[in-house]
Amino acid sequence: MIMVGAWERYWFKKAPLFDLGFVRLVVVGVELYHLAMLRPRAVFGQLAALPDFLYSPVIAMRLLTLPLGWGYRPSADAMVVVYWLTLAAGVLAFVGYRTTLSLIGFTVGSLFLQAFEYSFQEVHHAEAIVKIALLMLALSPAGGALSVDDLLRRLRNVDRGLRIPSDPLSGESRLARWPLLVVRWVFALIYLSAAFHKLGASGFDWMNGWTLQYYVLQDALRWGRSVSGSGSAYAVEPGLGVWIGEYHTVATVASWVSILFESTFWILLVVPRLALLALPIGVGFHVGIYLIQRAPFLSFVWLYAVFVPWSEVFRKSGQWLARRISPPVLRYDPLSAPSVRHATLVRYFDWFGITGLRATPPAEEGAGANVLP
Amino acid sequence: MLQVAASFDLFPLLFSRPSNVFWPFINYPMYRFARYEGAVIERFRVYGQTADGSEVEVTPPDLGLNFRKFQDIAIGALRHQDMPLVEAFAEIYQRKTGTRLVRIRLERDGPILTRNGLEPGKRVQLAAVSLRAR
Repeated sequence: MIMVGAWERYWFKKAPLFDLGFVRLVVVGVELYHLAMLRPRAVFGQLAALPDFLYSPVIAMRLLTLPLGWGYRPSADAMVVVYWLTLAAGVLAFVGYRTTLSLIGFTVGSLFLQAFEYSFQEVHHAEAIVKIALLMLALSPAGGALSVDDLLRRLRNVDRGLRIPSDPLSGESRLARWPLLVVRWVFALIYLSAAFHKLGASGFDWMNGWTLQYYVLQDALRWGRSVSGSGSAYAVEPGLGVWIGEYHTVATVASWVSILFESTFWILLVVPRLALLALPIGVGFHVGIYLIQRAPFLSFVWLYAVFVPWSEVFRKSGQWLARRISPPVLRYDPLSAPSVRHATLVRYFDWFGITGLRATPPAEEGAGANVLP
Repeated sequence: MLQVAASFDLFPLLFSRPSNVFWPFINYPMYRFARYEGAVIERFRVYGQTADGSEVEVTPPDLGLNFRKFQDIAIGALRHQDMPLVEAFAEIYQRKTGTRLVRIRLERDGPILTRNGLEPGKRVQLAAVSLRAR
């Protein structure tokens, strides 16, 4: 029973919906950006032109197209239609309108598009955790904050008689913690998997310096200044890695740092305070890999958002700001529903909570120039 | 649980299928093999011999592939002498360029990693296959 209680408390302790809502903005924003950068006709046209013998659908693709047959292969036109529908669902999921439905649509669409691309015997790793994060958000109350849905709910509460403009950072749920925890654990498992394979295949030889030099030089020669996987390989201009890759000692130290980082990242889940140390190292790790090897794992950096207690960060930043500036005062008339509605609307975008609220009936304040109608 | 199974390569054990098939729940084995001083930073080149005896370099766009697919699938087929696959690619080449190949060979070159930096490596022929007349 104690174990069950601890398990429940770990996953389902009340947590701020703001944190979940903020992560929704980040994850959906990153995925939307990624999709918006695609030229759907070109991308799906090229894939559709590949011969049938290369088509080997991943399980996700088979499941998503199951009603159409186990090995169904969609046409380029169908993929372009799915692309635009996914993009539309993504915009709704980002602003948080009908959030659960739009998030489900966006997640399924994103999975489908990516699974199709990966059904031609070429799978990459950087996008997987983004899709898993989307999946978790779609199953959670991710629209409970920072969303049109939430704003409309707060405005409806005013119509029902609430006379205080609500705090956008308020709102907690027992279901707001687990999705973020799942993504944190997936991070830990990904890094552990990377360390497990390196040490399993090569033991301590992996940190001999030559190994990292080899891969850095290989990628730098192969991709030049293009992002890995894009453009034609073996560009005329080699990348930054050709210079860095010459330094054996640097490579040896970097190998040890990489292995230590990957094999110990999971400790962050047990000791969350270590985030202050681990996340900057992780950012440096992925940005370094991107610059030197051109491997685009920057989505990992964005997804580190799941480790940050955003409501606390905004609240504390707001307190810090309020001590240094003269905070604006939002006056409203608690007897007037339209005034409270307007104040609720304005306050909704004050994530730092620096706006002071003052209930001021116009008659008492005289001119009432600052009083919302 | 899915990511645990993926991370530690349990999917191939449980389902006899490669981990990649279970995307987005996959393993992360990239760059896992140790390398040592003297390693050749491999670059592969594919050459096709046409019916008139001349030789042409076969590049990824000639087969409608990107670099990764070219390297992993087309070159993989040549290295493993997977003839049905090699012939299928030769057919694509013929369709795209109008040139029929009668023989394909795979070469490896690339610099050598040494204490004094990169040194030029030798060209080595890894495979050569003759194609059936179609």
